[in-house]
Amino acid sequence: MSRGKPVKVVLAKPGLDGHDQGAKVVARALMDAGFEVIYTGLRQTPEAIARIALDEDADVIALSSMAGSHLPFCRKVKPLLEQAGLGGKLWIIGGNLPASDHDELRALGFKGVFASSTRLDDIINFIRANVS
Amino acid sequence: MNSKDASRGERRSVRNESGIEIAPLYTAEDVARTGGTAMVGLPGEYPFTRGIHPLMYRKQPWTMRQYTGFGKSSETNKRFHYLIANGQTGLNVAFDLPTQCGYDSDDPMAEGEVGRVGMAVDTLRDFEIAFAGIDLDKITVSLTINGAAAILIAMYLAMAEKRGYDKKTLRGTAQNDILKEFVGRGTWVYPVEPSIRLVGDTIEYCAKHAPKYSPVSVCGYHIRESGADPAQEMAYAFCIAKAYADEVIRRGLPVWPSSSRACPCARCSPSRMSWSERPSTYSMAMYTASAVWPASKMVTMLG
Repeated sequence: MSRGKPVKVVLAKPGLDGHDQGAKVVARALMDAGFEVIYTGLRQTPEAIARIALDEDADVIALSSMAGSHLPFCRKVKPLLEQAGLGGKLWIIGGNLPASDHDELRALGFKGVFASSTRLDDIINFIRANVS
Repeated sequence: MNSKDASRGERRSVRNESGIEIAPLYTAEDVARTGGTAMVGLPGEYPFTRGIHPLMYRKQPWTMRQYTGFGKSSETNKRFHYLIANGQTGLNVAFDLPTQCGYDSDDPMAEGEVGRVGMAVDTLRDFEIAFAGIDLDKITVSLTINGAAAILIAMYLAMAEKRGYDKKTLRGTAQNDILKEFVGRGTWVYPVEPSIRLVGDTIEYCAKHAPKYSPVSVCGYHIRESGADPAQEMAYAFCIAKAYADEVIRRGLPVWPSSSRACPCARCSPSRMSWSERPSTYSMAMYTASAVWPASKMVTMLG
């Protein structure tokens, strides 16, 4: 990477899902890989995630969803991120994401879609290859 | 592995997932060293190492409950009837996240989550529909609900009363283990102190008005799923159970009605023995959850 400062990732838990073990493991792996990680904690609204990503000047906006509300949430957060001027940032999502939903998630702007059991190295390498 | 390696493997001690060394063979000498047959005892007798009933599973096997609930209460009711028709002996109700977190289905926070991971409950009418046609004396119901448990226990008892059941004889269970939510699963509604008070309130109410109802199931399973090894899981679960027991004792209630916890088989006997050391309670009812990581690991080992 030819960047002067570390890649900054805002990692968020959208909605009411309380399963944060995966998000915390990913946060630790990204930190070990040299990224700066801001973890939002549980129960974030689309508005809160857009605001945090803007305030923190995030390079990467990452969502962790385990309870099946990923599509309605991403449909709602997409225009908010765009309105905040974050359309050019790297958006990724991981968790319990059925394969049949991956295309729509990508179409909504989530370039990286990582289903459960994705290797941590694959997430790290994807961010390095795609962050601007 | 050839036969020579296999026989050497059998003689070697192994460590279990908690890092505890397991010897290749145990004899009467080991029993004597850990307190003798008095610490094993007979089933149905103190210290209940061999179970809380004299005939245990010969008299009554585990109640089988598949975790079930989705969409509207009418859809869940259909599923309940299907499961009972196919031999299930109890129900274990799954609630959607808005219900678990205390939101109405039309709250903005509930968008995209209504009826998703369990049944949506907004009013008593949802309970009346969900349990319509189910004999609550024959089929015992376990409510998997924690942060909002006080409300849903009240709904269950109110629904049963409306149908003519006597709260004094009604059986059933709620998970209602809010401290576990802070440690392992994240679905709490109130902070720690008021949560303990709520658990105490439900125990006190049931002890006085619905004495056959089990208002709390202490649950190590979610703690395990969040990364604890089996020994840590038991340690956390016992600490949590003690916190509830202390709250009840503080209120001057004479007896802790019952306690149960998630427990794959090898942990049942030591758990019962340990719990029997609490002077106010002694006997420990158990439930075991089979899902996700521990179970899939067990299946791998058995396979």
